[in-house]
Amino acid sequence: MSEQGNGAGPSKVRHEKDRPWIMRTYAGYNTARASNELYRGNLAKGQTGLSVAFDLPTQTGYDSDHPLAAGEVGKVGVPICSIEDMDLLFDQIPLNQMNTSMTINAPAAWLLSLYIATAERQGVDPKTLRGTTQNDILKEYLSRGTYIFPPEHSLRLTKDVILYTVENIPSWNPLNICSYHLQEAGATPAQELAFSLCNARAILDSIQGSVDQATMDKTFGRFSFFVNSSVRLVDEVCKLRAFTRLWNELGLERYGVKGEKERRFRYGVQVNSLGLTAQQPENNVARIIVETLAVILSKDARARAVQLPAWNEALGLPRPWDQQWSLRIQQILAYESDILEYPDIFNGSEVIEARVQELMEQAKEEMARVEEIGGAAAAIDTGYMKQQLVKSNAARIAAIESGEQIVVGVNKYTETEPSPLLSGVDGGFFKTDPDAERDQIERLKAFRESRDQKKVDEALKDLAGALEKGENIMPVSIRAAHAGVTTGEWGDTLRKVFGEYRSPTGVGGVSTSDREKREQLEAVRQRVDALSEKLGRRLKVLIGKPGLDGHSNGAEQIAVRARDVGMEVVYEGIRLTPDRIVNSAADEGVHLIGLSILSGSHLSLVGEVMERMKAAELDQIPVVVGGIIPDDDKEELLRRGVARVYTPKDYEITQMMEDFVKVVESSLLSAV
Amino acid sequence: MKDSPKTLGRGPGAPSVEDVRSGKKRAVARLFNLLEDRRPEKIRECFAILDELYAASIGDSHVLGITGPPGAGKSCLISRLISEARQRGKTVGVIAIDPSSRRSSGAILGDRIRYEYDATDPGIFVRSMANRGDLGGISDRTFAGSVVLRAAFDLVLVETVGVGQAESDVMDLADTTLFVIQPGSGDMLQFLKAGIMEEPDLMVVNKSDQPQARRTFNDVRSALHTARSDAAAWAPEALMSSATEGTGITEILDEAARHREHLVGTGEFLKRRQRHARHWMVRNLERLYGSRGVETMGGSERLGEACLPDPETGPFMALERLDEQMQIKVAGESG
Repeated sequence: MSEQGNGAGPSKVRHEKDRPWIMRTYAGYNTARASNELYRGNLAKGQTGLSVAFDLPTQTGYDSDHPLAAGEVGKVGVPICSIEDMDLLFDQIPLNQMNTSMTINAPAAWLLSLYIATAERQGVDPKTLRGTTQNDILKEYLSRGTYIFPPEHSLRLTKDVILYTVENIPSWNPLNICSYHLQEAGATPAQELAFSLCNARAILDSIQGSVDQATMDKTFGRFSFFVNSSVRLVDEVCKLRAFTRLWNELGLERYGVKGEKERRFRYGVQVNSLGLTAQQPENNVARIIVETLAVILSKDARARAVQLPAWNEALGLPRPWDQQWSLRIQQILAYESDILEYPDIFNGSEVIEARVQELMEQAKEEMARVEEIGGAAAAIDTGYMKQQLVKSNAARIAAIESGEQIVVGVNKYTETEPSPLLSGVDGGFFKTDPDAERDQIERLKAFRESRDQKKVDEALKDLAGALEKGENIMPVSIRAAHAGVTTGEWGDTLRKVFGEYRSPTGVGGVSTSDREKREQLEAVRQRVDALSEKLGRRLKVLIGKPGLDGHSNGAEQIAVRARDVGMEVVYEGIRLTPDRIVNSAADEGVHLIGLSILSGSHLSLVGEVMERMKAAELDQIPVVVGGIIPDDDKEELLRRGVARVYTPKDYEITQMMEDFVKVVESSLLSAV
Repeated sequence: MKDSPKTLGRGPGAPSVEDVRSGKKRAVARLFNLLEDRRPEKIRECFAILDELYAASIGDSHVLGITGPPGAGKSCLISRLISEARQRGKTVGVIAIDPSSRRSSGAILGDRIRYEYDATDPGIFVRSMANRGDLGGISDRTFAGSVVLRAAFDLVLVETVGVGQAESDVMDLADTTLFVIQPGSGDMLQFLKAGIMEEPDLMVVNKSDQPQARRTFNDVRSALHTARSDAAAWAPEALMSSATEGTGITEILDEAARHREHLVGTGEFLKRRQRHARHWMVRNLERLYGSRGVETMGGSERLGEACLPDPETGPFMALERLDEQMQIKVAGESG
C-alpha cells in the first residue's frame, strides 16, 4: 500500500516512485572550454547526464583547420581535435561519476578513444565508464549525411567498438541504433520500426559468426536505440511498445539470446524536431510536452534517457535559458506528475494492443522486403531505403502544403500577436562566437607544435598497420589519442585505407506526392514551360549542399519538386566545395543555383561561392539559398547578391518553384 | 566576355570553333547551351558550327558509349575511367544522360554526382542531358553533343541507361560501345545469345568483388562467342572490373584503345562515324516527316549517300537543307 502521492490518499495500485530517466540536453558549441562551462551549468541545474554535440568537421573526421572545415568550426557542436580538447571538455567533470552520450558516428572509435584516454588521464579506470557512442553509421547514409567511408568498412569500425566495449567497458552502450533520424527524414512509424531493426540486424549478423553465444548474448544486451517521438501521441506509444516486442523476438529467434534482461529494449529519446515550427515558435513547447509524454507514459516501454530540443529549434541554436526551459519540462513530468508511480497503464487496452499488432505486421513486411534485397547495407546501397524515406517525406510535405495535415500556426491559425520571446536583442536564439573558429585553429596549431612528433608518427604507423591487418581499431586508437594524434590525422589515415563514399540520393525514383495541390503544380509547370520556350531550352537548375552539413532531406524534396514542375535538375548532393559548385554550374549551363545549408555556416560558404562565381564571370547566374538563417544574416546575404533566401518558414515548395521562375526571369531582364 | 542567356548568338558572345577545338571548357559549355536551344535562328547558327567541328575532327578522339541496366555501377566506373584517362594525360569529355519525366518534361540529372574529380582540372568536362526533347524539335542533341566533345577532348564518355532506347542509343553515336552489367544478370545474357540485344564491342562485368562475378564473367564470355557472326570482324571481349576497388580499369581503357586501332586499321573508324551521321540525319527527317516523307525524298539510303558522300561532311546543315526542301514541297502541294 503506497502512502505517498502528494495528498492523493493511499492506494494499492500505486508503487514507490520509479527512478526517473536520465535527463540530458544535446549541447556543445564554439570551443571545448565554452562547452565545458555550459555542461557544468546544466549539471548544476539538475541535468543528470551529458549529451555531447560535436561540430561537423569533428563528425566527419577533419581538423578545424582543414579547408572543408572553414565556416563550420564550433557551429553545430564542439570541435574536438585532440586529447587536449577532450580534457578541457570534461574539466572538473569526473568521468567515473558521469553518464555521457556522444552523438558521433563515422569516427566513433576515435572519439571514444579520446574519452577513454581522458578518463585515464583523470586517474579513472575505463572499466567504470558509463555512457553511449551513437555509432550508427547506416542511418548516416539515409539521413544525416555524416558518413565518411563506404558501408562495408564503416560496419567494421562499428563492430570494433562494440566488441571492444563489451569486453572492456561493460556498462558502455557501444551504439544507439537510430530510428530518430529516420522519422526526421520522413519515415512512418512502421518504417521507423522496420529500417532501424534492419540496421540492427545487419550489425548483429556481422558479429554473430565471429563470437561465441555468451558474447553474443552480452553484445545483444548492449545494443540500445535512439528513438524519435512525434506529436501523434497514441501512435508513438504503440510504436514503442511494438519496438519492445519486436526486439525481444529478434533476440530470441534470430540470435538465441537466452537472458530476458539482455532482450529488453533499451532506448533514449530526442523528441521530434522536424515538426517544430519557426512560426509561432512558442507553440513548440506544447508539442514537446506531448511528445515527451509518449515516451514515458508506458512503463513497459519507457525511455531510459530523454533529451529535448528547445522551443526555438527552428530558429537557431538554443541559449542556456532555452535549454533550461526544456530541462524543466522533464523535471516537472518526472517529479510533479504521478506517471512514475504506477505500473504500465496501457496493458489490457484493446485499442493499444490492436494498433501495436498492426504496426508490428507492417514493420515485419517491410523488414522482409529489405531482407530480400540483401539486408540493410544492400538496401542502402541500391537506394531502396532512401527512396522509401524520400517518398514518405514527399507525402508528408504535400499533405502539409495542401492543408490536409494541419500544423497549427503554419497552415492554420496563422494569425498571431507580436511575440515577446522574439523581441530581444539576440533575436531569440544563440549565436556562436565568430572568433571561436580562429581561436580553435590557433590552439590546434600550437598543440601540434607541442607534441612529440616521433611518437605521433609511430602511432599513425601503428594505426595504419592495424587497419591493414584487420585488428580491432580501439587499442591502437587509444594509444594514438595519448600520443597526441589529431582527429584529422586519424580520419586521413582511415580515408587512405578505406576510401571515401558517396551515398545514393534516393531522389531518382520519387515523384511529388499525389496529395500535392494539382492546380498550383500545373500552373507552375506551365510557367516553367513558357520560360523554357523563351530561353530556348529547358530551365536548368543546380541544387546542392556546400560544406559539411549532410541533412539533405530539404534539398532532395526541392529537387524532386523542381523536376515535377518541368525543370532539369542537376542534383549534386552533399559535401560540395565552392569550386565544385561553380565548375558544375559552368559546365552544365544552369540558369539558377540553389544552395542548402543548415549548419549555420551560410555566410562564409555562400560568400565563397559568390566570390568564385564573380571570378569566373558567372555572376549573372542567380543564386538562391535555403537553410536555418536568421533575419540579419538574410539581409547580409541579400546584400551580397543572393537573389532569394529561404528559411523553414518557407515550407510551400511549389511556391518556391514559382519563385525560381521569377528569379530567372528577372535575371534575364537585367542581363547585359 | 560576360556570358548571358541572351547573347549566345554568333555575335561577340558566341563560342568560337577554335576555342572549342582547344578544349576551352567555357566555350564547350556555351556550345552545349546553343545546341540545346530550340529557337530556329539558334539551330541554324549552331548547325553551322557543328558541321565545322565535325569536319575538323573527323579522325580525332574516341567516343566510348557506356550503357547497361541500372545498378551495374556505370557511374562509379566512369568516375574511375576519367581518373585513369587523366593519368594517361588525356583530356576527357563526358555526357551523362538521364531520363526525362513524361509528365513534366523535367529531369533529375543525378549521374554526375557519382563522378569524383578535381573541380579545378581544366581537362575534364561533364555535361548532363535529359534524353527526351521537349517541345518537339529537330535535333537529337546527344549526337550533336558527342560531336562537340570529340572535337574538344581526347576521350569522350557517354553514359546512358538501358539497351537501345531510341533517343539515347549509344550505338548510334559511339565509336566503341561498352555494356556494363553486374554479377547475376542472367537476363542480359539470354538476350545476347538470342540475338535480341545487339552485341557491344566490349562487355564489362562490374562489381567483380562479389561472389557470383567469376561465374557471370564466364557466362558472358561464352555468350559472346556464341553470338559471334562474322569471323573477320571485331571479336568482342569480356572484362571484369570493380569500380569500388579500382580494378580492371586500365584493362578497359586498353581494350577500348585496341578497338579503336582495329577500327582505324580496317577503315571502319570513319565508315562507322559516317553511318552514325547518316542515321542521325535520316532519323530526324523521319521524326519531322514520317517514313512516307523520307520515301518521297528518295529513301534513307539514297539520302544518306547523296547528302553525306564524304566522311568529313557533317549531317547538320544537310538536315537543315533537306528540311527546307521538304517544307517548300509540302507548301507547294497544299497550295
